[in-house]
This record gives sequence, C-alpha cells and structure tokens, in this order.
Amino acid sequence: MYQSEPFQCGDPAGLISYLYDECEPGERGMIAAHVTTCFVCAEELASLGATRTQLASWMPPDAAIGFQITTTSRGADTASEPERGKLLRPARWWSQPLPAWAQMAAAVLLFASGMAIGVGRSGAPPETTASVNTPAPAAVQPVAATAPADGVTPRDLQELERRLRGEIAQVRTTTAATPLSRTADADVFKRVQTLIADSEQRQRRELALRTTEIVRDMDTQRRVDLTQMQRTMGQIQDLQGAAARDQSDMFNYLVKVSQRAR
Amino acid sequence: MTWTDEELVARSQGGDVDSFNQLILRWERPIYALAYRVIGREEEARDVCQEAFLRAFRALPGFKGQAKFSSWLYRITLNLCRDWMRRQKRAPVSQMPDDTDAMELAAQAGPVESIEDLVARRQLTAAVEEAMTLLPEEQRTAIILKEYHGMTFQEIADLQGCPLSTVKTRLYQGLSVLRRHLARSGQLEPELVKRA
Repeated sequence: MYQSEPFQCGDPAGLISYLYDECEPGERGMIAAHVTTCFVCAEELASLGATRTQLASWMPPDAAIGFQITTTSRGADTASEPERGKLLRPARWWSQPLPAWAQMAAAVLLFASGMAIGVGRSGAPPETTASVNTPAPAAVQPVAATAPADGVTPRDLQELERRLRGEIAQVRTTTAATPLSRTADADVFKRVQTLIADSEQRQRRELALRTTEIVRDMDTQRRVDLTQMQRTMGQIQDLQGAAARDQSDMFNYLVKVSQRAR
Repeated sequence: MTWTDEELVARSQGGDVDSFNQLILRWERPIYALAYRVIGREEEARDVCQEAFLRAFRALPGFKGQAKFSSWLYRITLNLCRDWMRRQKRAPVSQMPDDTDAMELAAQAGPVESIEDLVARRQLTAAVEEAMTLLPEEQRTAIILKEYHGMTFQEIADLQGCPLSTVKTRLYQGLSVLRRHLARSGQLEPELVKRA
C-alpha cells in the first residue's frame, strides 16, 4: 500500500489536496492534525476556502444553444461514404422556418394582393396611377362630388363591379371543379398534423431530458453540501478535541503541581 | 428511459443521429460553460461549442471508448479554445457590463432575492470574471475544470497532459492570485489574505 510522505508545514500540494478533499491515504489525518496546531496553515486553508466560495458565483450567461446534427444524404456516387453531419446553429425567430399554417396564410395573402393588383391594373384609368404622385389635398373631398372631375363615372364603376363579380365567380368555379386541390389540402393538413405531432413529441422528450438533468444537478449539489458539512463538522470536532486535550493536560499539570506542593 | 453516454455513443456509431443529438442536449451546457469561462466571450464560446460537437460527430467512428465520452469532448473543446486563443493572440476578456440598470435587475430579481443582493452578486461575478482573466491559461483552465466541472486532479492532469503535482501547483498559485485580487476589489476580507 502506498505510504504518503510526512506533511511539511505550508506545503502547497498537501494543502490543496486537503482543501479539495483528495488526499492520499493517511495524508488527510496528518494534515488535519497539523492544522489544529499550526495557525498559519489553518488560516491559509480558511482563506483559500473563502476564495473558492466566491468563485461559485461566476455563472456563464444564458445562451440559446440548441445545436442539432442534421444529416444530408449524398449522391449515388458517394453512397458508400458515411453521412456527413452538419451542425446547425439555433435559428433566430425571424429566420426560423414558418409553420405550415403561417405559410398557407401568407400564400393566401399574396394571392389576394396579386388579384387586387391585377384588377387595379386592368380596371383603373391611367390617371389614377399618375395621381399617386400628386400631393394630397388638405381635406378629403366627398367622392360623389369629385367623381366627374376625376373622370370616373357611375358607368365605369358598374363596369368594374361586373368584371370583378365575373372574375370571382370564375375563381370559385375553378376551385370547385378541381378535385386535385381538395387532395392537396388534405395532404397539407396531414403534413401539418404530422409536424405538430412530431414537435410535441420532441418537446416531451426534451422536457424529460431537462428534468433528468435538473434532478442530477440537484443530487450532485446535495452531495457536495453534505460533504462540506461533514468536513466542517470534522474540523470543529478536531478543534474541540484539541481544546479538550489541552484542558485535560492543564488539569493534570495542576493536580501534579498541587501534589508536589503538599 | 434514460440512456447512458456509452449507450448513446454506441447507437450514434451505428448511425443513429438522434442519439448523438441527445448527447448534445446533455452536454451542450457544460461544454458551452467551459468554453465561455476559458475564452470569456459569449459568441465565440458558442462557436467553439458548436465546432466541438461537429468534430466529435465526425470523429465518432474512431472513438474507441478508452476515455469517457465527456472527457473526450472536454479535450476537444479545450484544444479548440487553445487554438482560438493562439489565433487571436489575446487573453480572455471580461464581458460584464460597466453599468447596472436597476430596473433590469428588478425584473430579474427572484422572489427571495432583493435588488441589493442581486447587485452584490453581479459585482462579485464581475470581480471573479476579471480576476480569472489575470491568470495564465494553464492555471485558469485547471481552476475551471476543478471548481466548475468537479474533475479530479488525475482527470485534469490527463486533460492538460501534465503531472499530478503540476496540477496541484497550478491550482494553488491560481487560487492565491484570485484571493489577492478579490481582496483588493473588496470581495474578500483583507484580513484573510494578510494573515495567510
């Protein structure tokens, strides 16, 4: 069995081993005994311990990490190679892919605005475009009063209404007449449902992992606290024992001296 | 059911990418914390963390399990940190803000922690972070691995490639410097330092 060398007063390696409770067999007892009588080493250990306590306050800032490996399949010529990994940084909210429902909503909006622009281009008189660049009047005039002056007559408006109704009816007919679009909708809904289910499953798994980590951390911290408490209690007991021994020695000495005096 | 690191490594080596992603999920915080404390820069620490996992994933087929997966990952990360510091030719910096916004702190304060406590904690954190930048890289790394990652002397010696006695010396010298600096910045009782 390994026999540790006697502890030299102030030896940094020994003090550090004692401080971190990683002494070699027999070393701890020697250092503990030395510390009870050596004020300098006791103070050194106390100040190093206090420094360690202060260090515990330094925590890194919270960062959105969330890395994930995503694999990309190679072409047929490199099929024998292992899949290459690509690590993705967590995307910011503005650069993350939109959910399926948002993509659909955006597509509908784009379609609607495209329709509106198309109608405006085909139906509005050329003066309308030019008037955009003119400065706005100070007060808004009633439409009916200014209509003849702008060149838009009730007849034009009726014509525009008729054309719009016709186009909307045409779009409705096309949508209803195409069975493929229903199938596509069903596919999209199915994909959205699958995505949501996957997401929920992933979140449940992450929650479970996080919970496990927290429990593990708490357990580790509890064990560290227990060890520190035990160590502190040991030191207190050592000190009390030393004081009791001193008192006992003093008492014995007094008894001897008093006997000699008789 | 929770898989062990070894099981997840074996599954990853068999081509299961999800298993490796679980390893990432398990170790990304400690690895990021290590990189941040060594480098001292948030953004760069994230880059190092990402690169460490990428390298680990690519080198996974060659990982034979002689060491623990975490030790292997720590080694990769420390090498990357060292490369980064050599490339930048600069010491780590302290990123703590100079001023303290009381309203922001009030929003962050927990139900049991007063703003005064929070400010004091922030000042202490800043003092520790600043003191750590004063240490040579080897001492700083040894202290980080010991204090914040709970490694044994032997594990640190293996990671740093030095004898056990050197690790103890680095820890002692590093702690002594930190003690002096913290006492100077008022975060440690000067009496403790004087008497020592």
